[in-house]
Amino acid sequence: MVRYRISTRLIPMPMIYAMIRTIGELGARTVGMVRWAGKGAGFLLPSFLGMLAVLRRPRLIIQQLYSVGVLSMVIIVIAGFFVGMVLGLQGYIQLSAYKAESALGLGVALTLSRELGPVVTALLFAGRAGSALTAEIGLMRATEQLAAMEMMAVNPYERVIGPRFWAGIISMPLLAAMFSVVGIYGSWLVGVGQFGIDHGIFWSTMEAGVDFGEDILNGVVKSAIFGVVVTGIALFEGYYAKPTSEGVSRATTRTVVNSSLCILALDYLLTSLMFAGPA
Amino acid sequence: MNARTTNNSSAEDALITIENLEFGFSRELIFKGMSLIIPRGKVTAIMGPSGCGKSTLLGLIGGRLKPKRGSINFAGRRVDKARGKNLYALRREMGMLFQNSALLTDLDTFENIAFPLREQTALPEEIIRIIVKMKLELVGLRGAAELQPAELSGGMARRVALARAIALDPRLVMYDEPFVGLDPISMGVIVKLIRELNDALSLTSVVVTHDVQEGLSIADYVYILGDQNVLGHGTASEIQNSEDPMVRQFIQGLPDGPVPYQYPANPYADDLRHD
Repeated sequence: MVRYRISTRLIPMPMIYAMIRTIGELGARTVGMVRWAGKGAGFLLPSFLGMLAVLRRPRLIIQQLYSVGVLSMVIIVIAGFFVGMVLGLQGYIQLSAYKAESALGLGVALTLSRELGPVVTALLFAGRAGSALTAEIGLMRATEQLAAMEMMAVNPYERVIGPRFWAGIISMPLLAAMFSVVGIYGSWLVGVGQFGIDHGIFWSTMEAGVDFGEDILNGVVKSAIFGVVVTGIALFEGYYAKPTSEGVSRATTRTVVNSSLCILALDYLLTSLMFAGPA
Repeated sequence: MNARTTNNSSAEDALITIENLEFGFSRELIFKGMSLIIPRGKVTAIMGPSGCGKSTLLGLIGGRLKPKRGSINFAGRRVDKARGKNLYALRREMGMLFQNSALLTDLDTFENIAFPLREQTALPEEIIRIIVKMKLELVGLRGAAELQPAELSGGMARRVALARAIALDPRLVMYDEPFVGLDPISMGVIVKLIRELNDALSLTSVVVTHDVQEGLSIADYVYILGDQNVLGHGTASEIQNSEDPMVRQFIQGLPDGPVPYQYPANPYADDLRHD
């Protein structure tokens, strides 16, 4: 019988310990990730049930629509306007090289409704509303408000999570649409106002080229999905934030970072599903 | 009336019966084979050093935590087995005052007390207004109805939270460290309120505290927790005259004793010698 033995003369003991530790850490990280995924699933199901239950109390949803959606409008409108102006400027420079500046309106409208509208809105929303949701719920946890609700026989998934989830999902497509509309006016200002593209051509190419189902509706679906993802991450991070000031601050950062990455990755997936399908 | 005989008599006079409780957040247990009885209609103090699981016990009674073993009976129903709707039905009969009051910060004082009424009942606005005013009057804060939680002092916030805890006329009110961080006047107010509300509304009160003086002064019956179990129990005078060394150390506040002053460590000299 052959016995294998690690000779401590060939491999020094500290190195063996380091190897064992590395393997252990790898395992711990894997277990941590699986646990995180399980936690996420365990969060989504009661959230969904809470969302169904809160439909009977639209007033709660409307309150959240105000703080999540309406209060995000200013940043969305301003950002949309500048993004549109930049698109108009860059678009005009490139298109005019081919004497195709008349297609500016179409190009800008497609870019905004298909991609930039949903994506940039979702990124801004993550920073403006997502972080606020995480901090709010994290602090509710830290100050025992969620525990107090449970002891008052009030389900926090129904009272706190549900209305906020709806508000995020409803307001995201509306904000994205707003972003696109304002963006188009921004590019109009640059293209028509500054560079003198014909007003009628700017709008008529857009009217002829943008398809409601293909472009607008797909954009709306996209931003609704982003709404689910961003709001879900924000609520999850807040709900499971460590009840300390450091824990809440970390959870807020994670919300912005994770949801931004998710938006960008998902956008590629959704675009390839929606626009690059079998012709 | 002798609380001890009440305690020993039977489960008839018990609102809460805990038997053979085993609980821990991790592998390390906080309670091991613990049994205790909360007598109906009395103020029971749960005392013990920090970290002995006093607040955890309230979490278990409220069904927010589930025991690993043992049973928790509340008015003849198993809290530890209850889930979903049944658990919420049990909680409707419990009120809880949290350590930092846990008022909902987006609602004013009035709405905070109205919150459980609005959530749990279909009472018309006029009745809710009357009930809230009555509860506020009970804690002496009828004039503070319009204030936001941030505008309340610590003592006032605790009184508002108490009014909220009794909004639905529960059978049991649990107080988690109600005396912590209060000035002497607010402390006196809370002590008075716990006693008066208990007797006037025929509640059962459980007060978790590490404040020996206040705890003994207010309680009809006292449990001292520690070492994963009940160290001692009895009326306030029985506890004060206890011979048990651990109970004595806690009651008299001695820095060293069966509970050592030193956290377990290597011998001091060894620790200084190495690197």
